[in-house]
Amino acid sequence: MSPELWFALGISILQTIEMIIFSTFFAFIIGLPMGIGLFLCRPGSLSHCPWLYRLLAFIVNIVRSIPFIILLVLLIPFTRLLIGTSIGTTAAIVPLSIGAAPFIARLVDNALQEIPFGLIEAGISMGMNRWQIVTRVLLPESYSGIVNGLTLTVVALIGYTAMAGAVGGGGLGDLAIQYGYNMFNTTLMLITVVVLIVMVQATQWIGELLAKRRV
Amino acid sequence: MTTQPIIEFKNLSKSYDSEQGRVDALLKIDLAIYPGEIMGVVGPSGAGKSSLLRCINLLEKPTAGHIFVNERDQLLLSAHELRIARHNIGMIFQQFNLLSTKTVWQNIALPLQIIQTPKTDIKARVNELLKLVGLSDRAQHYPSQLSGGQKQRVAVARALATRPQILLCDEATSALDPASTQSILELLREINQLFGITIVLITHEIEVVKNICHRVALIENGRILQIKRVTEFFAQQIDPLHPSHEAVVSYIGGHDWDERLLSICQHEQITGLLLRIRFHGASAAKPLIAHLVKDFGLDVNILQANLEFIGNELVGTMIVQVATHPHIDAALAFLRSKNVIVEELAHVP
Ligand SMILES: Nc1ncnc2c1ncn2[C@@H]1O[C@H](COP(=O)(O)OP(=O)(O)OP(=O)(O)O)[C@@H](O)[C@H]1O
Ligand SMILES: [Mg+2]
Repeated sequence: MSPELWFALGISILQTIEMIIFSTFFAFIIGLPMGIGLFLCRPGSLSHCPWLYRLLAFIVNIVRSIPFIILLVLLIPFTRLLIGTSIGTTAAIVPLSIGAAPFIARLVDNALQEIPFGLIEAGISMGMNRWQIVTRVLLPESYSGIVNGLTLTVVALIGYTAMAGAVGGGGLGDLAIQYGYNMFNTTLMLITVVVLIVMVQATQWIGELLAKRRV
Repeated sequence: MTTQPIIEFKNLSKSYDSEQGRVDALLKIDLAIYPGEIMGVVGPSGAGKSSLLRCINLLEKPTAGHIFVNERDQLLLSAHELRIARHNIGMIFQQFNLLSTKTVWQNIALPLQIIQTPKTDIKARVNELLKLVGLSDRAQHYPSQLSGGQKQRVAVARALATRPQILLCDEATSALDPASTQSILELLREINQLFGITIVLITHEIEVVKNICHRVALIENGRILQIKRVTEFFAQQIDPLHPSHEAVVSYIGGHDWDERLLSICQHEQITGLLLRIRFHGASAAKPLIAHLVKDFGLDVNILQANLEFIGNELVGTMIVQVATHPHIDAALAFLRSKNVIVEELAHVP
């Protein structure tokens, strides 16, 4: 392991962390309202809006059924349109966010469905409007469920960033393929794997810590 | 009564459409509930009790008819007006429905927060409510750290936070042990007397009705069979020919006793007439049996007797055996003239 390689490893780690943080953030921004929408619009639920429910469910299912590696390629024109390039770490954040958003939408929806309907009825009988029910009943009560789901998402995203790296996104995946696979550098390959394991463990640990917190 | 009802059902029907078809949960209900009353709603499972209660705050929307609260047709309110109307109607549930992620204090504060009550007022009100329900020392606990009875107390405090005129209770004590049930009933009675709050209460437990209700509505298959003052409900003459008599009997005491008594009487060779006598109010204290013995010369044998307070009145039930005697008919007429309900259960030859 030359000093340059160590340096490249450091850069790659930072790039991976950057991709994970930003794509989790954007995926959450998109996925949370979608999940709440799915929950509220489901027939028999609070808002009963079947067409919106079907539309959201359709989008979520479509995106989730496309293998991520194909989504990466499919989204190249869109990414280019959005940020001007389809190569690099920033560009990788676009498909990562879009790929993870439906995942988050489903897990938010699932977490909300775990809440006993009686709590929502208590809110209604208190005179809450829909917004108050979402912010004061649904989100606090599903907090730990959502955090647990997010932990899963981030772990999955760590894997996806490696894939994104393969198509020029930088990060640990890129490094492992360029040096480890193409140049038969087994040491680097092993170090990359160890770093990824540490990342997954750390995510799990932070997730569990956050889920236990009272809000 | 001369006052205006605080809650009034007019020709209200509710049906549910499900995949299995249409279920008529309530059929043309007419019911008036007056300010300060504790109204019990009883009836078999699936009778429509919850539907009736939930139509008051429009958790369920009636399919036809009207529901008036303070003389305002709830169905004509806008979404915003309805939410304001709901601040005036507290509700407690069998499953408590407290937010598990909020402390006792935060749960009680919630209804006040959503109407933007100033922080200092919330603090004062929540502390006042905690004292009322006797949980001041549990303010920072979470619901999972409380017993069932304590959870229901928190729910009562939460329901009262906005000083509602009406409190709806859907089987609020069904999940509680007898001691907790008793303490919740005491609490409900107390807030009824203290604040004049009108309480509509669904229950399966007949003891609950006897304990705190002023009036009872008995419903079955979506129809109101009876609405009576609680003492009159429990001391009523059962008409075996009336279509609702079985439902009534199941609440105020069945005929199953009579069969066993009858066989005992036959076995012990006790002959004559078996009577069930129910009396309440003023007549309860009077020595009825002594009258029968002294004034009519009857031979009276008490087989079973029971006295209890229902509401604030004494209600008595007795099963007696009277030996055949020429004055029996006159004696029974005398009892009936004293507002005593006399049922002839059997004649043992
Ligand atoms: N959401 C619903 N969808 C379809 N049918 C319903 C629904 N809610 C209630 N029903 C039906 O309406 C009827 C009355 O129900 P309701 O819950 O009012 O009865 P209840 O008297 O409260 O019974 P219980 O004592 O078991 O709580 C029942 O036949 C029930 O199956
Ligand atoms: Mg019910």
